[in-house]
Amino acid sequence: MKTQDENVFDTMQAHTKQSLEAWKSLWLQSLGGLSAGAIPSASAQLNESAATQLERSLDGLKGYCQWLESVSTASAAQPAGLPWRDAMSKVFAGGAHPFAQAFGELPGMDALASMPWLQGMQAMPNAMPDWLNMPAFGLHREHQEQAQALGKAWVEYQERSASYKSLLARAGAQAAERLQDMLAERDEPGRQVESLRALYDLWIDAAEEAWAEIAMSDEYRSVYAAMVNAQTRLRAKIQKQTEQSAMQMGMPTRSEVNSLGERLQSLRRKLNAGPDDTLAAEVAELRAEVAALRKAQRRDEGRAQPATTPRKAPVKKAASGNSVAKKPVRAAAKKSASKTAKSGAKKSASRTRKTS
Amino acid sequence: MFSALRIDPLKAMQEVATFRQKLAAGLDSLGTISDVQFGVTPKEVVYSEDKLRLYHFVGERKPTAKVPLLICYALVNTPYMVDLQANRSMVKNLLAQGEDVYLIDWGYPDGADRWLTMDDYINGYLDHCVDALRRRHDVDAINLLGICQGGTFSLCYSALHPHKIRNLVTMVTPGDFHTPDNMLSHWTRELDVDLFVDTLGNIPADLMNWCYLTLKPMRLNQQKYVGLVDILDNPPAIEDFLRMEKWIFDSPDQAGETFRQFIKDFYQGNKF
Repeated sequence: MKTQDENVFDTMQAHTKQSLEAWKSLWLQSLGGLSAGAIPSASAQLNESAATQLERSLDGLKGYCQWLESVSTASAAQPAGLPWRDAMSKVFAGGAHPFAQAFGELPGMDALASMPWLQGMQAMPNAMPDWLNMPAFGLHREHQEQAQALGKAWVEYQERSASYKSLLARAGAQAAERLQDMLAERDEPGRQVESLRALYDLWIDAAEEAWAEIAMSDEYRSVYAAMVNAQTRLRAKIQKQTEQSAMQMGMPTRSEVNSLGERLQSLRRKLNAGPDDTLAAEVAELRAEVAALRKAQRRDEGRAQPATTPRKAPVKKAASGNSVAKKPVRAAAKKSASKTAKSGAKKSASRTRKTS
Repeated sequence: MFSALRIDPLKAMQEVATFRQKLAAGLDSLGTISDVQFGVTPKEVVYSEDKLRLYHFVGERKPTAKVPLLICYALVNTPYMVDLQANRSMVKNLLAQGEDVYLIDWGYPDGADRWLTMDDYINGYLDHCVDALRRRHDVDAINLLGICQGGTFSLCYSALHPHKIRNLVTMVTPGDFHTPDNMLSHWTRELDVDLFVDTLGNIPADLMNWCYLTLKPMRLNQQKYVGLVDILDNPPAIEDFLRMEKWIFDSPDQAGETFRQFIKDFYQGNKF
C-alpha cells in the first residue's frame, strides 16, 4: 500500500501532465478557430504542423514532467526504511538518462535519415555487412562502390553515435551520484530541501556539474569529434548520390553552384582591390610622357612663333614641324584615355556594387 | 538522523497546483502578446554593401564626442542585442554619455556569401565601414568597440590598420582560445573542419544554436522553460523572456569559408 507521500507524488505528476495536455489542447483549439474557414485539408495540415511545433516548444516542460514522474516512481518503489535519496539515485541512474532529451539528434539528421538510400540500407541491416565488402564488377561497378561507401559511412556513423550516446548515459549516471552527494551534504537542519522546486534545481545543478566534467574530458573531445566527423562523411556521400540523380534530370548541382560562387567571389576581390599595380604604373608613366610631350610642344611652338609672323603660316609650319611629335601625343593620349576610361569604369562598377 | 529531503506533501501539492494555475493563465497572457519589439533607438543607414548595413544611432541630443564610435558585433548573433529594449540598451547609454554611435549589421549570409573569408570581412566590409566614418567625420582614426567574435575581428583589424583606430575596446572577446574552461574550443579541436565546411557550405544557424545549448544542456533546454512558467502570469516579464528567446534563436547562418578559417586559426590554432 502506498504511503501518503507516494500518493502525493503520483498526484503531482498526474496533475502536471494533465496541465500540459490541457495547455496544448487549448493552444491547438485557438489555432483551429483561426483556420475554421480554410480548406479542411489545409486546416488539418496547419494543425498537424502546429502540433509538431508545439510538441518541440514544450520539450523543456515535458522534461520537467518526466522528472516528476521519476521522483514519483522513486517514491513508490522505495522499500520501507530506505533513505529517499538512495531510492531516487537508483531511479536516476537507470533507464532514460536526462541528457537524451536535452540533446536529441544533431540538427539535420531527420532529413538525412529520410533519404531513400539510407532507408534502403536501414531495411536490410543483417545483410549489409556482407554486401558492403563484396567486390564490384561491370558497367555499374563504380555505382556499386559508391553505394557501398555510403553504406559503410552509415554503419560508421551508427557506431560513433552509439559511443557518443553511451558517454551521455555515463554523464547521466554521474549526475545521479552527484545528486546523492549533494543531498548527503544537506542532512542537517537548515540545509534540507523543502520544496519540489528546490529538489529539481538541485538535480539540475548536479546534472550540469556532471556534464561539465565529462564534456571537458579528452575522451569526450575524441568521441564527439568522431561522431560529428562520421556524420559529415555520411552527409557528403549522400550529397554525392543526390547530385548524380540531379544530373540525370538535368538539374544544376551544389558543386556547380559552388564553383560559380567561388569564381565570382574571386572576381569581386580583384575588382574591390582596384586596378593592379602594373596597370596603374603604366598609366602613370604614360601620363608623365604626355605631360612632357605637351610641355615640349608648347616650348617648340613658342620658339617657332616670332612676334611679327602672321598667325596662319606658323601654325601650319608648327603643325607640320610637330607632326611626328604630335602623333605619339595623340596616340598616347588616346591610349591613356582608353585606360583611364577602363579604370574609371571598373572603379565606378565597384562603387555601384558597394553601395547597392 | 535528519533526511536531506523535508518536503511537506501538502506544500508539494500546492506547488503543483500553482504550476498548473500559471500554465492555464499563461495561455491567456501569451495570447495578448503580439510580436515582441526590439531595437528602440532611432537609426539611419549611412553605408551599405551587399547584405551589410552601417547604422548611425540618433540620440535625443547632439553627440559631444568628436570621434565616432563604431560597434563591431559578432557574425554568430544578431547585433540588435546592443539596443534590445529601452531599459536594456547599451546604445542608449552610450548616446546619453555623448558618444556618436554606429553599428555594423552584417546581415544574414546565404549561398552567395559562402566564399566570404575573414579577409573579406575584416579588410573588406569592416575596413569600408571604418573608411566611411573617417570620411563622414573628417577624422584620421575612429574608436572601435568589438563585441564577442566582433571583438576578435576588431583586434585583427586594429593590428592591420593601427592608423585608422584611435581607441579599441573589446567586450566578451576571447584572446586566448585555449583557456582550460573553453568548452567550444575543446570540442572543436579534433573536428575535421575542412570536411565540415566542404560538405555543409554555410554553417546552419540551427546547428550553431544546438551546439551552444549543449554547453549547459539541462539549464538551457529544460530549467529555463520551467522558470518561464513562473512568469506566465506576468506579461511584461514574458515579453522580456520572448525578446531574449528571439535574439538567441534568430541567428544568421555562418559563411562557410569564414567559419573554416575562424575554427582553424582561433579555436584550433589559437594564433593570436
